[in-house]
Amino acid sequence: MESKVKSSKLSAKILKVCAVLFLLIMIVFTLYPIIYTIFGSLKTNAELTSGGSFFPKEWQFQNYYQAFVQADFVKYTINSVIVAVSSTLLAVITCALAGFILARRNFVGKKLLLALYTSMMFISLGSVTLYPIYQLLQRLGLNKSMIGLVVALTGGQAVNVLLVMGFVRGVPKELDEAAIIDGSSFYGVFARIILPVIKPILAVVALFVFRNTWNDYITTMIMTISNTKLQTLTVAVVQLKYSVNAAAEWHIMLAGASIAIIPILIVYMLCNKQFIAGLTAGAVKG
Amino acid sequence: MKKKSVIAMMLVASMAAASLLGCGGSKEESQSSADSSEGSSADSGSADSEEKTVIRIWTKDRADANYVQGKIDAYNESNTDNIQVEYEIYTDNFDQAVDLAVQSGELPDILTLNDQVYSQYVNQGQWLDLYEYMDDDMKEYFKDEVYEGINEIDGKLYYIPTCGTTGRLIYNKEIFERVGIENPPATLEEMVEDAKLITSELSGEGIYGFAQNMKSASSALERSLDLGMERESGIKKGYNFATGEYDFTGYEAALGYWQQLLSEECAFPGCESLDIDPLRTQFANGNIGMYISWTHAEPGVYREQFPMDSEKWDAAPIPTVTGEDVGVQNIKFTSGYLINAKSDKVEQAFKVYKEIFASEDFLIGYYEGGYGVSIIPAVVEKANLNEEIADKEWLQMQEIDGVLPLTPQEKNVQAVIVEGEDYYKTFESIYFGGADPASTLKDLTDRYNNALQQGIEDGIGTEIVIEDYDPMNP
Amino acid sequence: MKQKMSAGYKKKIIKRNLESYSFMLPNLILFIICSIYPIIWTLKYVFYQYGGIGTGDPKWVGLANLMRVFRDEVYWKSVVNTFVYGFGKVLIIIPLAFFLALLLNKQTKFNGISQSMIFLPTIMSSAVMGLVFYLLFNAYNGEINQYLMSAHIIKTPINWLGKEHAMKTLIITAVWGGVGNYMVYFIAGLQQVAQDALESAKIDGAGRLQTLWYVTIPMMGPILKIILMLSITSAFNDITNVMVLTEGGPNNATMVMSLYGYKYFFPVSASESVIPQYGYGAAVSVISAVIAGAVTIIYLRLSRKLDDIY
Repeated sequence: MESKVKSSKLSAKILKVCAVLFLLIMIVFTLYPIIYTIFGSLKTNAELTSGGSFFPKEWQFQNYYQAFVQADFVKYTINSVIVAVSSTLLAVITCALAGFILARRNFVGKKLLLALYTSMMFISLGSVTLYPIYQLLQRLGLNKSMIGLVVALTGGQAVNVLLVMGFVRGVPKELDEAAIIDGSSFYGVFARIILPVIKPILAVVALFVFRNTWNDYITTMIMTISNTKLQTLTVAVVQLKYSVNAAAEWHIMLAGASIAIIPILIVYMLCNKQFIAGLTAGAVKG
Repeated sequence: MKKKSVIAMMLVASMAAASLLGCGGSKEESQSSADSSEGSSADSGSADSEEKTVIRIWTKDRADANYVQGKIDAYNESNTDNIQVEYEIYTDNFDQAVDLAVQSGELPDILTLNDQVYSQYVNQGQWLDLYEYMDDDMKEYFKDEVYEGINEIDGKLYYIPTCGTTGRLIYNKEIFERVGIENPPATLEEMVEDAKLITSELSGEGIYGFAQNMKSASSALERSLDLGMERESGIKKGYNFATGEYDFTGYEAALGYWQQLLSEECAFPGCESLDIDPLRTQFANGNIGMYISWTHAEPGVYREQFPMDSEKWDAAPIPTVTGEDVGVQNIKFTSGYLINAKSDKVEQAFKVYKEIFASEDFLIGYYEGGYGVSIIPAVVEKANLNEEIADKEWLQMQEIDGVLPLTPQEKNVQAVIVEGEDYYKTFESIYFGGADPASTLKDLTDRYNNALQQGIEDGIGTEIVIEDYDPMNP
Repeated sequence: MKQKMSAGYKKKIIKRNLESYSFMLPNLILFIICSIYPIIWTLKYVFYQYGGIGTGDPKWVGLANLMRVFRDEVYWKSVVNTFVYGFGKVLIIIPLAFFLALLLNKQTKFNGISQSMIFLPTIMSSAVMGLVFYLLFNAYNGEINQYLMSAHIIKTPINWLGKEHAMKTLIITAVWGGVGNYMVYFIAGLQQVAQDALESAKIDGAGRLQTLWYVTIPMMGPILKIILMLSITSAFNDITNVMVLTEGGPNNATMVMSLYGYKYFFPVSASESVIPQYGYGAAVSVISAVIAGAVTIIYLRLSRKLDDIY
């Protein structure tokens, strides 16, 4: 009896050690490419391509200077911030309005719209749709400015509209009715009653739209194809791969990559709980 | 937690603030770019009270960017016509950028030559007939650079090629000496032997016999196999000008050797996913015995980008199956400029073109700097070549080189829409995928000829048959 | 009935509808521009041959583009690759994520930190990281091979992006980018498993594995279904990482169907030039969408059957 307890204790211990070991391996696996990027951005090109040390021998902060000044990353950083923040705001506002009205009112064509929005989750033509979108934006005269890019990046937001709609449905209708009795208009109900209540889900939408637009490559690349002044960090970094000096400038590429990932890394460090909670909310509702 | 959310709020706030500030800036920027493309001559953001005409130039070349930018800066400083030249580099997606820009009317005033872009829009009246503006001196100076059916169509001249390039075998002399190879290979069989020898003896040190930038089959084979076949069989990109048909069956033997060259016994590891520049760094580090590339680029690359002692490397003709030539290999034009005929500043654009890019001073400097191989007799005569080019006779144009006519697909890509993969990719399925060469090449030939026929039936393509075609004197 | 409606009532209805649409409109405009219009455009061009503005007007070709897709061997190879990639990714990522979720389910500080570290890749740009992986996995001077060689695990460099390994490498990077995501889903699912069921299982003397197998997993059923579906559909749509890391090569070894349609519209890399064939590209994309849709539907059917068994 005693030995059995002992052995089960022992096996539990072994199990625990294995589990911790497995976790450590997974953490190394997930963190390694990121650490490689950041340390790599501080190495010389020779150090990078000949391999060797994990840490930079000498910290080459001038790589960043080169990326910012020579590769024009200041401009791309500004672009990235403008594009990501504007898309986020646009997405949050439009989703809040649409999600609210879909949850609260019946109107002509609502069923059709709902069907269309839902079907978008199953129909995906992929990136080829960027060509007609570009053409349309160009016909609307929006392709020369950042507006077109922001519109294309924000997109239909079908999933997020449905997400917000689901959330609003969970808000008791009595709240609206009480406000209307108090003399509030329909717009007032939205602004004063619903908006404060649905803040958490809007934060989720904002977080994910921000992440997606900041990280986007293909849409941004195509929308800026004939207007490279509007390129964002992600596009600029990847295009470094095709530049003539690419093979000799791994350190600049990694410095660029770091510039692109560090802001989102900071945002994540500050609100990783919200990220994870938001994903959960999205998954459960979705 | 509270602290964190405060910081997060601050971050968001600062981002929003930055975006507002940035928005202001971007509006101005988009404003000015919109203005310049609309081409209202009465505008510029410059501090001068004078009005400047902005001429925009797009280029695909980054290699010569410093040289060209320097010339442009000097011109911007010195010109008395109040012209401001803006030079924009598009390394990526050049064709697509042009396509989209044509649609939206944003095409710049001048573009560097790009074969596909040129042929796609030449029939739409997109490019300026240079004859309209050229004076007699200029016509005389460039008279050897007029090729009917290529840059001159129906008596109109659309661009003047000033530099050309062609493919050569680039090899490391030291490595060849170490393993006892005296002369660079002339046939593909010798090439395979030499590559095997180098790899078997030196791979322990990380030195391999052969490498090629096989990541993109088209990029790799355009500079190698295509040119070899032109000399060997007189067939250009699969097209036989004498019969007016595509015929790829003759590529079988050469592809067999390529398969060997790319096998582990010969090739640098990772060739399948290698781009040309990583390849060059490895060559400069002395890890590659030989590869095939364009003549115009390598001297500049090994002088500036990836320094390598000029003594250590040399160039030789591309090896072929038999080593005997029935034709010349094509010279591809590298420097040339197209002027947008639909720009409303055509006159100024031509002026800029003439004063910067068509000036002898520019052309000589370009050749001397090793950015391209000049094909203009007067320039070749006057230039003082630096040692890289002067010492290596095969980096200059020789008798084995010539300008070949355009194939139907080069003339109009949309006239030969081939079902399935293009021939480069199809070759890839032979040397990497192990597809049966004979039947694959037969099928490829059929697909190309069907596409050619279809194009002719649709009225887009034209039949190109050259009677008594002599591949030695095209 | 309608005739009986008073004018005032009608007005009120119109006003209500207008009011509703004032809320709907901002999003609806985006939705039409970015979702509806491109779909209609694509469906239309399936029946045309068109090469861009410099090449003359679109030409009606009827079903020719669709027929050509069915003959196109490389396309079907890309479909097979998509399945290999999709299922490869899902088969590795789901058990891995589930296992991680089991380990990290309890809310301790250590678990919280581990969670956020494993979740980290999901916030990274797959394009930027594709570039980083391209450097890491380089055959001749990538750091992975250098480590393996200096540790004497391998003698000659592994050609990670070569035709034999490229797909595996791609799947590894996809697992890297996605495992944290699914781990969080699973943790959410685990937290929904009723605690009292677990308690009673414990009282009944069930071991850990038994509890896992007989209680936890069955109760996770519904969420597992959603997670699987999300993972399959997202895997079918992955394109950025393929584009940046391997560009579909070598010899189409990693060509997936989303990228195959794309390459008739835009160049996949700077070194390739593209002959735009918008009509054919549209046909490829529509058939790919149908295939992806069919997989989803089949999956939904099957999982309903699974429900019946339980």
